[in-house]
Amino acid sequence: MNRTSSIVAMQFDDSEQQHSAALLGMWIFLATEVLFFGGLFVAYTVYRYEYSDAFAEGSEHLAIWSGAVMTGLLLMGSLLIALSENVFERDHMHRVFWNLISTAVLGILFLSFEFYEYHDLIKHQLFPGAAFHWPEKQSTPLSGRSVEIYFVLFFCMTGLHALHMIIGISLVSGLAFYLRYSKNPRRLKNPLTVIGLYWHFVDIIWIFLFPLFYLI
Amino acid sequence: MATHQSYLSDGTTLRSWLMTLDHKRIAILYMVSLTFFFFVGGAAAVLFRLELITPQGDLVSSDTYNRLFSIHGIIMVWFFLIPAVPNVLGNFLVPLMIGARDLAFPRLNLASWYLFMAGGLFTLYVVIAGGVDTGWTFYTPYSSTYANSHVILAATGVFITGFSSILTGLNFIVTIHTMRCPGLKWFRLPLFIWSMYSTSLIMVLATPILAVTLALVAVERLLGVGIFDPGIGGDPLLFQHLFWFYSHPAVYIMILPGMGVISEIIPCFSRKPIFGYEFIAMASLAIAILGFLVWGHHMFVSGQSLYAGLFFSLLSMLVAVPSAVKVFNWTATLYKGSISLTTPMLYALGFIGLFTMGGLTGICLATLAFDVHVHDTYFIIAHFHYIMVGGMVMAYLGGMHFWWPKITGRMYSEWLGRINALIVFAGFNMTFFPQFILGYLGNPRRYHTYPGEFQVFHIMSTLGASILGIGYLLPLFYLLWSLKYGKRACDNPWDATGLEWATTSPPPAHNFRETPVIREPAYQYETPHSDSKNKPNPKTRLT
Ligand code: HEM
Ligand SMILES: [Cu+2]
Repeated sequence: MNRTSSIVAMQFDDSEQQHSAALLGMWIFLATEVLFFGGLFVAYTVYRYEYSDAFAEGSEHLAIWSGAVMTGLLLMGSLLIALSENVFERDHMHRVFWNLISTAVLGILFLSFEFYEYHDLIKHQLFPGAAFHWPEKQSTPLSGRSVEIYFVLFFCMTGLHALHMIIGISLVSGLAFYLRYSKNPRRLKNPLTVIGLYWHFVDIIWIFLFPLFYLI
Repeated sequence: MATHQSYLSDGTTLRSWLMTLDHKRIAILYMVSLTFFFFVGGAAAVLFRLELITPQGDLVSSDTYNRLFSIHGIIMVWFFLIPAVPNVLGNFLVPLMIGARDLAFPRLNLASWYLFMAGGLFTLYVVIAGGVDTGWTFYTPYSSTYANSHVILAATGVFITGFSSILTGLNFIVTIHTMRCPGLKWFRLPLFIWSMYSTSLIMVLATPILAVTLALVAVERLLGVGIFDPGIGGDPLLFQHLFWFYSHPAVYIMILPGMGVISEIIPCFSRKPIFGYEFIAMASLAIAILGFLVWGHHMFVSGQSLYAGLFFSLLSMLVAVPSAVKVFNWTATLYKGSISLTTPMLYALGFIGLFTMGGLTGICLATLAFDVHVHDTYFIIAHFHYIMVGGMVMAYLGGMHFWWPKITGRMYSEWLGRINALIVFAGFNMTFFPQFILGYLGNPRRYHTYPGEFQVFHIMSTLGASILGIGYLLPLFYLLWSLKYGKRACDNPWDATGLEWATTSPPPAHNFRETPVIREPAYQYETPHSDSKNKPNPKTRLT
């Protein structure tokens, strides 16, 4: 068995076919993900329309600067992944490794900011459920219930996003070490492209979440 | 024959089955598990049909009755109908029909079976632990504010199984796009592949919506917040919109694959090329796309605006067009064909009739004024059972009989097969036709008692269901029997043209000894009027 055939799985004719299958598979998976988040975006739209004041009120409780920093972190991560594909082509495996590791670190930083935000909201009794407490102000006739819905959506949507981040970070760092210790790192081209796509996608979701929750 | 290793003899330990990556073996895993779920769901139906013999509630309480029809619906929809043709026949046939060695992602394929089983175990646990009483639709507030049963567990089961169908859809789409053998252009694909492709699109694009919807119900219940509960700020209609945005396309997951099976059987037993190939192929895609635009027809009386209602009514009627295109094309294929009434053909003919009934009553329901009258009555039950049971289950059985020789390498008793097809047809009509009348006369669905004047129809229905039950049990026995005592099947017992018939029965582990090359369109059956010496032979399609 020669070297090229050993990196192609049994069901494929050649590595090109395998590459296009991997790529198409990821795109379709992302289409699924769009619809998955899509249901939540629909819910957001409905309630934003119904309770626009409550949403404005609720977003006052998020720290815009932290959201902005988080956005920056993610964008940098995406840039690094994109670059790593480029250096991979030129066979600089060492740099690919460090790019991926930095991406993962940026992702972890992102999550730290996010969890700090969660911590803050929970401390102020803004986590939806039994512990939720909204001081009814005389000046605004807002009901606490509608603000609670804002926070339900906030926690659901950013929480789901954070879950994707955790998966993304594990994939990226796993790939980095795999690449480092693999005898034949060139065969990791498909995983790199596919994981890169996934990371960009998770990024884009955040690009929508940030304005929808922080900037209203 | 003797030296050749079939996929069945390629390892016989339990491990070799549970860890297999061979799409054909995974198909068998699905087949066994689906059959099991089918009979669990059927058992629930037996119980509530028995209850309905008399107008009073004497066998079960109304609460138990709710649980029975809910579990029946949940199991039949998600654990039988949706996976039936795609995961059993599709898994087995997609690579064979396109001349590939396997699906693009064999590990994912196995993973999706495990997900399916995990979801199934949750559901079985729900059955044992006392059930769920929301109906298969999980409508809020039954599933939220007023839930008093295992809603979250049942929803989790469905949620997990949803991912199994997403992964299967993904696998099929990628396989069909990237792994067709040389010469197999898109318009040379068997129509079964077109229908699998369209089904997969729906699986991939609709199922995630179901997943978030169920997740939101779970969040609502766990945190006690009002996402769908109007009492505390939520919007109950949002649930229905999200649910039907998934579930209407999902009803097409439950019929498109069946249409694919029929498109294989009809030309084979009419000995004619299928009529209007391109139209049938495109109709599958049209159904998949239009199916996403009609969900509002389930909500005509839920308080959506009249204009939305009009719009959805119009669009729903449009969906019927591609469905009708298919029916006309099948009929045109039969016309002047040399028809042999084999077992698969009997099921296929039954399908055409029953599906047409279901589709036509669908158009009736899409008419606003009529729907207001029959909404939530037995008319609805009859409508969708004509399609889902009369159509899809018939197609599944037809397909099983058609490909059984390929899958197992054995022939079943043709005589028993034919009789059984007639039993199923008769039993089915006797069960569900009276329900059209019941619904029209105003008997609401989902109650365990009813006014005495309806009793005669309910008795007919229960009697019919018993016949239908026999029709479902019998194949279980004679098909199993054939495994040991059936005649050995030759490679192509029906003289069919598909690529799957060009390999041995049962096929070797990697499907083909050498990669096939396709030179002509599908369904090149010779009509008896033309040169009758030439028997169709799938190998003529190859080099
Ligand atoms: C030919 C096109 C079809 C049209 C125009 C149509 C129309 C409708 C309408 C308007 C309803 C709602 C009635 C009501 O609740 O008041 C309905 C219910 C239903 N239809 Fe169809 N239908 C069609 C095809 C199908 C197919 C192919 C399937 C399944 C394979 C299907 C399965 C169902 C189910 C399951 C329900 C009831 C859901 C429930 O409330 O539990 N329909 N249909
Ligand atoms: Cu519908």
